Amino acid sequence: MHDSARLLVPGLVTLDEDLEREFGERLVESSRLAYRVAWSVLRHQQDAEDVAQDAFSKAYRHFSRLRDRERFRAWLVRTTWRTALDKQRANRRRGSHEVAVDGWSLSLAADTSRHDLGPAAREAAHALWSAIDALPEKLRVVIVLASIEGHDVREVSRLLGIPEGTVKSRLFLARGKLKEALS
Amino acid sequence: MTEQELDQALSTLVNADHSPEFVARVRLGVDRTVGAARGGGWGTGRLAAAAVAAAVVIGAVVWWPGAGTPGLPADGSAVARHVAATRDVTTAAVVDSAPSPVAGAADRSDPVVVARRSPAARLTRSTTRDRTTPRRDPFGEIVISPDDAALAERLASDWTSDLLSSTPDSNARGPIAVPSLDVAMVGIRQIDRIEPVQIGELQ
Repeated sequence: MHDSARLLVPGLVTLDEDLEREFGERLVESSRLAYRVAWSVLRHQQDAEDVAQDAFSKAYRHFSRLRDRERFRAWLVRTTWRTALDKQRANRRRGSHEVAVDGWSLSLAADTSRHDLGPAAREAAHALWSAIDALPEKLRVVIVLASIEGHDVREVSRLLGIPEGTVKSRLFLARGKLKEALS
Repeated sequence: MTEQELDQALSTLVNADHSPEFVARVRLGVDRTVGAARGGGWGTGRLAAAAVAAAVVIGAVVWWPGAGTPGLPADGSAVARHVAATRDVTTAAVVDSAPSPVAGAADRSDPVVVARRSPAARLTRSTTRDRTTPRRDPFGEIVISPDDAALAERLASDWTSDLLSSTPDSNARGPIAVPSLDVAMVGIRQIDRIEPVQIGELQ
């Protein structure tokens, strides 16, 4: 911005610069969280990155109301989750659900950290994903968020904006259904 | 499956990592979004301002009073009033001289109609061909002070009386030769009217 404009509206310019800097920080620290939320729904690397990027673009447009770190992360998780579900439904409408499932397998194969997974491990992972997909959405989001980065009940409660007791009960139900499906 | 095994399996599933260029890609996408929003907003605003300015200019050119008749003074001036009066006269002449659909040979015998087709009327009609550009009256109004007007009238009357008194017989019948009055034209208005013509004179 021009120097005269800086002199005229120094507060405004400083606010914009602060917003840019803070958003950059949020992007670095929350990019993995957003990607994993999208990944847990889509299991397709490119789709998950597209959804996470879309969520960050939306977050940037509303960042003046999301400057608080906890509020930003909660908003980002919920937006990414809804966007990923929309993307999943769109993929199913296009008849590409099988492609997404195969994409998960392809992503696993492309991930260097999982090249050590044998066929048995891959089959177990596929079964677990199927069990997660079979959960009601309220239980599914709780079990996914609790599994991401070791989030505890309080953190999941903050991210979803629901009481901790509700998180505990839903987590208990979800784990029970998963164990039942995998046994 | 134990609780620990389930936790381990879930953590292995969901804790995937994005590609190394993901953060840069998000930054680029945000920059493009912001740049497009700023550029589009500025471009839209500039386009709207240009459109409004063009509309104002066109409206001013088309609807401005006196537009299309350059050189005319304001309506309040004497010359403008004279031009307006001339325009009214010529318009009336057009109405009068236009042949009606029912007019036929019978109109030719009407003295009034014949008179309207006198050379003066034709002259008036010819002046109305270009209605959009009012013509200036060649005998324009001469504005002089009241004292000068009184002096001119007195001069003209004195001159006329001298000429009449100098004739040999003022009571004699017949035309009186009067020399042209070049100077006495000052202050005399032209009578712009149509004289009726008698039918006998045409025959």
